[in-house]
Amino acid sequence: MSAPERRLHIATIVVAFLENLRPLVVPALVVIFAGGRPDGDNWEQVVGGALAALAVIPAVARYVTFRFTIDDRTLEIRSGWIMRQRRTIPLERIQNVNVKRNVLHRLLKVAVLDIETAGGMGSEASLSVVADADVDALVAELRGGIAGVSEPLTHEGPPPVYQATVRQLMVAGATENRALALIFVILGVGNEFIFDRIGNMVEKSDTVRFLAVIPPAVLYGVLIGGFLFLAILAGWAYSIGSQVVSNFGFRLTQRDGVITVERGLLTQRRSVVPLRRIQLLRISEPVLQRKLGYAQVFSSSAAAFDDKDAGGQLALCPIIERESVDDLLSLSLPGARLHPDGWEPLGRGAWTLFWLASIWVIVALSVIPMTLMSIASDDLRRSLSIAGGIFGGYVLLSAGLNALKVRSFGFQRSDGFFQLRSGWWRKDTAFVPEDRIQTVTLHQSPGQRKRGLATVTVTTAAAVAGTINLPHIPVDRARELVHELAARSAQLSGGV
Amino acid sequence: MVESPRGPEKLEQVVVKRWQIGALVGWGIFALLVGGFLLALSLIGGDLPLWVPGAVVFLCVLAALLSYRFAWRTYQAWTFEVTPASLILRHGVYWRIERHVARARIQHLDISSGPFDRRFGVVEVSVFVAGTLGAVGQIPGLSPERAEALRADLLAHREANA
Repeated sequence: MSAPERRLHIATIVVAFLENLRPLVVPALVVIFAGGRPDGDNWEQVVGGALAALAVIPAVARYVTFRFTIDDRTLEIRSGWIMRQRRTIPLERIQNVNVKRNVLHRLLKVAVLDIETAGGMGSEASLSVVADADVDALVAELRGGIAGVSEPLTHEGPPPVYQATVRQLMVAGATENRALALIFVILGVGNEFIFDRIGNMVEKSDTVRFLAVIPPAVLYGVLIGGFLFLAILAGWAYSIGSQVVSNFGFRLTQRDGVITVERGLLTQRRSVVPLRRIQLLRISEPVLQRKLGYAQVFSSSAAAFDDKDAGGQLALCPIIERESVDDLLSLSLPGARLHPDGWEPLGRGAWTLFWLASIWVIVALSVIPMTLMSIASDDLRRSLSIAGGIFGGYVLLSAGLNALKVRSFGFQRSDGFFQLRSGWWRKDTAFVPEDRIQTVTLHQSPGQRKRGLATVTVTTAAAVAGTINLPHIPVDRARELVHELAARSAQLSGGV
Repeated sequence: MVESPRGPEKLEQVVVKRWQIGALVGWGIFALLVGGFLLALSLIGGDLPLWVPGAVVFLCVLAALLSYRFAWRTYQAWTFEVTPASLILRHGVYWRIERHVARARIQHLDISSGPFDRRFGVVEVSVFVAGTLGAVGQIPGLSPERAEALRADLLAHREANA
């Protein structure tokens, strides 16, 4: 007997209508404010009506045409009106089922189920939206394929393996580098508006009695310094706030070989990942967190995650004490643990290649401006010495930073894992179970051949962040490593 | 590592001609379009010196000749090897690549041929594994019979281990 056909929740119309409306708002505003007003009093109503029609028709069509069935082997989805589509997904191919609720979903008591397979980036299918009350049962039905169990996932389920408190999240936000992007934006805006105003204030300072006593150079420095301090403070506050909002109530549970992660203040997310699908684990230690004894743990599985905050990886822990990392590692990948020693270094000549790679662009870009500057300048000697000083400073700085970079790299094979560590500012350690390696590649550039070096690239089935590069190791060791890893990959049959 | 019973295999030698003709035609079309456009600008607008389209055409001819000569070295560098455990691809003249794809990991293979391939009687085999957006390896310049035999061999291994 075939499984019954099911529909999405009626709130699909509202959710889809608002989703469709969002990209139309900006063009509508442009039409209303920049396009001129034709005669008549009902211009806004006409634009509004047209937009509503553009947004509501596909929303209704989505609800009316979308049907899905789940039997004991497949999820089948039929959709479309003009272009009809039928998609069949074997349950055993489903890698993850993610549950997502934003504020609107919570008001309407509905949720989005994103279903991911190993077929590439993004969701293979999305049930948007279903009733809150049906979510657990649907996830359990879909999980029947991925974990061989069918109990519903509930908050009364297994006790959490890891929970993040608000204080921990605030520490995570305060110690990672999320603020930098915002600071640069603020400085960019500041360059346009604030610095000009500060310049004007300094010029007019002699009209204000108490400012007139301060030398203009000092006043300018104080105002710029104050602005930069405020920008850094704002960036820091943003970093803390975004960490708390995105990971509020972070809860990691594990049962029957399946990891479940729940998090989020405004948009709540739940990700379900079978352990055997994990392709790679990454322990990340930003410099400040490292000094305070904290780390972050991310996983990449065979499907792409809807997790933009973590660069496409699933955060298993947004922040964790370093001494607890081994427990979490062995829970996610049995047998995995951090080794303090036994790391093999890069080959001799690695520093030269890193250094050359970092300066050749700047050399190419600086030769032309330096030449032009010298020709145009009245004081050739002075301009050449300034340009040479800047260039020389960059070359020396680059030499030092690349020495740190070379020292930070290390690799080892132990306990059935290929491990790579890298980064001196943000230290990353990647764990790849050798039985989950898909391809192993040895690359040699002309520069590497001259120095007897090679790069080894290992790929897994994780579409996002599932590839690791081991650069500039001795070529004989690289060949040995490639053959050993390829043999392991061929012998064992880890999960995909 | 289990040694391959067949050892490294070369591509069909006719692929050199296919690459050479492809490069000549490709650069020729580029020279015709860009050079022609710039020539038209020079003649109609008058602002652009005539040596500019001339230089573009000269560079295209140079690139075509280099590609023509390079085809033979590319062919010499290209080998593939089917071992009991892996498919190994080796290629690259200056930037050398050796890629090992475990046979058990291969999801599917595509055999494709463009107009030039068909003219010279060769096809290209693309190898796919799970979780990647594109092919992890492409073997150009095989006869259709060799490509079919390779596909059957690799997929038979997968089915036998399923």
